[in-house]
Amino acid sequence: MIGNDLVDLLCAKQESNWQRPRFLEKLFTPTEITYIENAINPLLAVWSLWSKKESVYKIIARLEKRRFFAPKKIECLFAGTTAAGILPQETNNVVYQNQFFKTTSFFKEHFIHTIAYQESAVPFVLMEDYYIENKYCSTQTKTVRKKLIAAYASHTHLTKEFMSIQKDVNGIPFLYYKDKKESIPISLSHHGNYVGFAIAFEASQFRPNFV
Amino acid sequence: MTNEELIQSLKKIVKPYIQDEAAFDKLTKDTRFIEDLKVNSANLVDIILDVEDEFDIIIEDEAMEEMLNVKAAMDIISTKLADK
Repeated sequence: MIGNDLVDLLCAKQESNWQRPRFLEKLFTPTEITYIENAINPLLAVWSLWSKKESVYKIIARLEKRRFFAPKKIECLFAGTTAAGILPQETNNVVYQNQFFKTTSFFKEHFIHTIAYQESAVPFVLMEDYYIENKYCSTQTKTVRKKLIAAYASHTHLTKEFMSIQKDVNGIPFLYYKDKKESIPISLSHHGNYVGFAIAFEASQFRPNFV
Repeated sequence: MTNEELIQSLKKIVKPYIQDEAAFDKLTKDTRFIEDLKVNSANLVDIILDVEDEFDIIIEDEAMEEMLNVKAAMDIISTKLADK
């Protein structure tokens, strides 16, 4: 299982006011709020925790086959408090109803890209992200799907003309090859001027071009 | 407040966050905020906070969990207003 989430920081700054009353309390646990309030860059702290929750949520939605909005139930864990502030926990850093997830957030120039997976099955993850000038949702959806298919085709040596991505009734995306659902989990994300995806290969399925 | 009035004030709240005008124009009770209106998931909380402010109600986490479409939002608002 894999989840990914991308936050365009400039866009987040325009679209959301994390300082509005009750905003943090609706999304974050008391420990998370303390972490945010003590962070050197609270804006970055807000959106990195959010992207961790969101990428884990995508895994849960896939597993439970349902949609819900309960950001506080998906809880970020912290290693402990020191003089320098609360330290984020490196591994197993998100928990939802006793299930642990690993997340890694990549901080790039204007965006955060986070991937999440279950600790029990560490996959070979292929993740990519792109800047897109066009902010229209439909354009971004098309672009990210095209990019994912191209990446998948190049790593599996399958013909990309036979591939498609379809969402189920819960809005969860699946990869299809010759109209047959592929078992490999995928995750898509777009925000602001950025799109990204992650594919979780099993070791046996991973055949990069160069080997 | 009638259902029609409720749906109109909800539309006013949701409008700044939508990214799909066509879906918004033909909004029904079954319209989903994220999948249909393309509301960014982080803005779902703004819709909830705006609803709280507009109707002077508090939406608890349990109710918020289901507030993903127009009908669920209407049900929660109506229940809260009736309890007032």
